[in-house]
Amino acid sequence: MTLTIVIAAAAVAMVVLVALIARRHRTPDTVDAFRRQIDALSPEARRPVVDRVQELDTRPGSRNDDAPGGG
Amino acid sequence: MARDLAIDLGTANTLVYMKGRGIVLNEPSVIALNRQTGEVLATGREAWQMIGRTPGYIVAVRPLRGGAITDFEITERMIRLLLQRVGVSRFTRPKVVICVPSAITEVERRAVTDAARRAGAADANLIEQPMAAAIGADLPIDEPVGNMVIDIGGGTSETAVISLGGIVALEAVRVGSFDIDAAIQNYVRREHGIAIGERTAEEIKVAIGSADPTGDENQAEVRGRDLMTGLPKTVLLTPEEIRFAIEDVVSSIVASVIRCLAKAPPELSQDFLVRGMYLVGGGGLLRALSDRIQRETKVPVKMSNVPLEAVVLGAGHVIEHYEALKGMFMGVRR
Repeated sequence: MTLTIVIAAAAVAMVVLVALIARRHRTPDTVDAFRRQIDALSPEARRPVVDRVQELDTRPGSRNDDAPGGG
Repeated sequence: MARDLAIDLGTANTLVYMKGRGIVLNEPSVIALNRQTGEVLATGREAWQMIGRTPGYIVAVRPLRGGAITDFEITERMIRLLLQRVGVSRFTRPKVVICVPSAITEVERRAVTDAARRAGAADANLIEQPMAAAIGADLPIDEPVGNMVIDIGGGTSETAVISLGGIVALEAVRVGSFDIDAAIQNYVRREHGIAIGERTAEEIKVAIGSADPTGDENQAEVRGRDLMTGLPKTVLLTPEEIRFAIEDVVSSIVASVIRCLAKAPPELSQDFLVRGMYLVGGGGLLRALSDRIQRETKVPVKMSNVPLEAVVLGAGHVIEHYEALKGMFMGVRR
């Protein structure tokens, strides 16, 4: 019985330790996330959306000429 | 499987961008209802054409004012109908990114996301309009340089300084192109004694409205209802009169741009002199507005190539790179 409790306590301690180590190691993820965000905002990443606008401009009657102004 | 959507829910127009497809809808944010039964009769352009021309039992309304939802239920119905038109059904629930003014309150934020979820979105996230506008206007916001964007919409005007994918300084006023139309309506009523509708005021603004004197100073003939006799009446308006009528609104927009410049860190301020500021939004199309801002701030002002679509294109880019850019959503801790 005592042995089971000791093993369970050791297992819980291990889990907590692993979680703490994983949390510490997760810090560089924020660097990666920021890098990914900046890369996704680069002109190269935005090119497909810009190209789609050019397609929109060239399509006949695709723009709305009598639409009201404002945003 | 539904394609994810980006929505520019503007006071004047609603634009929808579909992932992998581009802009699939561009309609006025107007809904026409049967006043007695509450049934929707029309949305978008069809409803816009009804404004001020409906019989007593029909009401054509804009459910957003000053960038905020004034009628939650009607907005939800409008969003639901717009989403249905782009193929969203109860079986295809897309992720949705919605552009909203940066100055909206927590209650207004929740109202927009709830309206989108109830209208069929699996998940709804918000992004600030100036940030979306800067992405859509193709500004180099991934670099550590000062990018300044002025977004003048129907109900709000927002100026933001953006660097390294984040907003550095922001200034917003709940004044936009609809306030210019209202100022023209009030002026014509007060000075000429005739009543004109919202759409006529907008036509006057487009025809002869300007923020500064221009080379083209033609007069415009305006027809309305004489307030004394009740009979139709025609008057001539000059561009100078319109400039006088809209001066308060224009100065308030220019003042907010100046306040934003004053908030910017000095390291970024010098970038504006070289790179200039970018004007987007339908309100930015007012004649000589860029000249007026440039004259008062001494900073070059450039018009975006896509002034009306910049915001939805920016949000569209975010939906295309959802995982990488989800940190830019409003309410996400950075």
